[in-house]
Amino acid sequence: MVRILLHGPQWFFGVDAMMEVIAGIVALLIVLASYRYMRMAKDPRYGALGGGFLLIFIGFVSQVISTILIYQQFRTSGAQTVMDISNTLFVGHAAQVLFFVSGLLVLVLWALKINDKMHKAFVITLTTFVAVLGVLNPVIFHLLSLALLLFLCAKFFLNAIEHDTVSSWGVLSGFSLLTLARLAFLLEPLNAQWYVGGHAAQLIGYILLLIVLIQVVRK
Amino acid sequence: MNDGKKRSHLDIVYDILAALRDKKGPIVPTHLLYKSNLSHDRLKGYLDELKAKQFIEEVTDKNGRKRYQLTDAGYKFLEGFQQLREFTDSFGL
Repeated sequence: MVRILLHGPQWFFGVDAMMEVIAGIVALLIVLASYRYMRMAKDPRYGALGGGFLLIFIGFVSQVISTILIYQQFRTSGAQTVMDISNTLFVGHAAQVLFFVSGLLVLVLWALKINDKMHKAFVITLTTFVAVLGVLNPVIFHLLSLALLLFLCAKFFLNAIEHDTVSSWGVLSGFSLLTLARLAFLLEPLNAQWYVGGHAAQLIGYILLLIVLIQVVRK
Repeated sequence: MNDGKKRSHLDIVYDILAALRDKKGPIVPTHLLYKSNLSHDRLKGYLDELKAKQFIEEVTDKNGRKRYQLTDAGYKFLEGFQQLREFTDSFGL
């Protein structure tokens, strides 16, 4: 059964979309920076980072567009119930899940240096299967995202230990907050306030990544 | 350049390109060997990579000796190196 619900407290509807716009802009800036440095270094590794964040950015765009369409449906056609807007909500949610998970998957394949074709095919198939289940059940989506983000945090932790720069710790802190945000989204069925907390953690995580980018550009 | 730490791939690329820039003209491989502090085989690998990326080009002097010089892409790489290194180290690329 497809379970798509409006999330969080009523006052937060729309605010979440605004927060996702900001997060999406930061993801796009990381894409642009990766592209710039890929061209400069002529090294495809930068493309993997940029590609992952590009998919995450498209996920945010899908989510925000569906939210805007829902607003319009309420205003113009007089839709009043969740059933009236369920199609738009479902398409937006499905696109967000698939693009977001694909983005994280690209980052994990890059972070774990999975280059063997068979290993890659196995991980992609398994993740895609779970992601499709995640479209139907948000809990599965958040659990999958949480697992993928934990792998990324482990990678960025080792990187921060190795390089020990403010920026490398900043990236780790940013991704740690994105991971905590997923945990908060998982707890949302217990209390709607967790949804607000999850979005706040996600926004702060992306702002930290933005600060890292500013730090890089100032060099 | 390396602050006592093991040089990364990016640092070695920088050292080779910076040696070419500082010389302000074509340079013989022996001089690069001394400047980059690499074994002959490793330097050859780096030079092949830099040629493939078109950061350097091979020229032959009037005595028929092989020399290397920076290209425009090589100069651009050096200009943006600090940013590139900060970005690379931040994300562990």
